[in-house]
Amino acid sequence: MTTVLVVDDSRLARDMVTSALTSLFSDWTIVTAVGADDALAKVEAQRPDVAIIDYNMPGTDGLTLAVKLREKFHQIPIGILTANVQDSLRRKAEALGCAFIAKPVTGEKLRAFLTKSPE
Amino acid sequence: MMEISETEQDAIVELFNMGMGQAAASLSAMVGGEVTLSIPHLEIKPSGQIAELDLVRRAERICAVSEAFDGPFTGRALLIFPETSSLRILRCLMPLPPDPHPLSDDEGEALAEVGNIVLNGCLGCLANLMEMEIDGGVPSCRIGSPAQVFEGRASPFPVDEHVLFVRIDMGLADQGEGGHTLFVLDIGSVEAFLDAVRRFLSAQGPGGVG
Repeated sequence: MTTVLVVDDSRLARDMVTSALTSLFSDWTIVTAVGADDALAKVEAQRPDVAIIDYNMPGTDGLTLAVKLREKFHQIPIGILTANVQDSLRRKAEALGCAFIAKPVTGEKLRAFLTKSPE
Repeated sequence: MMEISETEQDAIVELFNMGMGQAAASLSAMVGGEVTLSIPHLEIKPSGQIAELDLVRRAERICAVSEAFDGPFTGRALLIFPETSSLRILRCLMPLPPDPHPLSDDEGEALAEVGNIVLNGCLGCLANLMEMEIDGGVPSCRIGSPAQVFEGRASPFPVDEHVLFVRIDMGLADQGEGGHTLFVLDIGSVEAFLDAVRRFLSAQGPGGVG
């Protein structure tokens, strides 16, 4: 069973990711979090296999959270999901070994990310 | 008053045209319908006059998603819709009661995400074109009468001062009145913005951006 961590301060964005993931992989477990602190608390109880993280969140941003998750789970694939399509942010994400997923999320974009990532 | 040459004005309009084109494509994918855009309109005027836009004066209640941005130049980006138009957009994204109603906190939060995609999509495209970094803040949504949204300490523009103001009208095709997307540059950083525009123009060579 694959567990996906979805982190976004927007409920609409979380719902869109959850809906797209469910249509692709109906048997996967989706854990949602509203921010970095919530995400870090939830991964204590449930280890994620994949993480999809919004960049622009109040408090800790998505890249900083990705670094913290990498410290705990060295190999998990992480996708940075963002409306900020700047090349500089894409490069920062890629330098951390994260995929860059432009909002709005679609099933195709998630499939491309997840099929490249080892499950 | 600051002078902006015709060539610079043309370049600014085209840069925002391209940026909003990207933002509209993202919104279109999100709502599953055509998004219409006007040509960007550029002027320098006091920020207080933003509350005097026709749409803002006419609507009983408006929704304004705003975020600050920072980088070589600073300012605020806003997405302003009449509340009724906001409901039409949200109906494309989530189940809502059929009748017009004041937006709830959840609906306001969903609208903030729409603003996030539009405003950051445009700013990100601009940053790429101008080869610079622009840091966008977290968008917030204010809902109420124009006076409630634009007056008081929580207003996006608590101080009335001259700003460089770029307005693009945006809406869903065949869905009635749309709204405004506004990019408002602090006057103190307009010269830095114009320098970036000049660098962009010079990088395009004698043929310009076309």
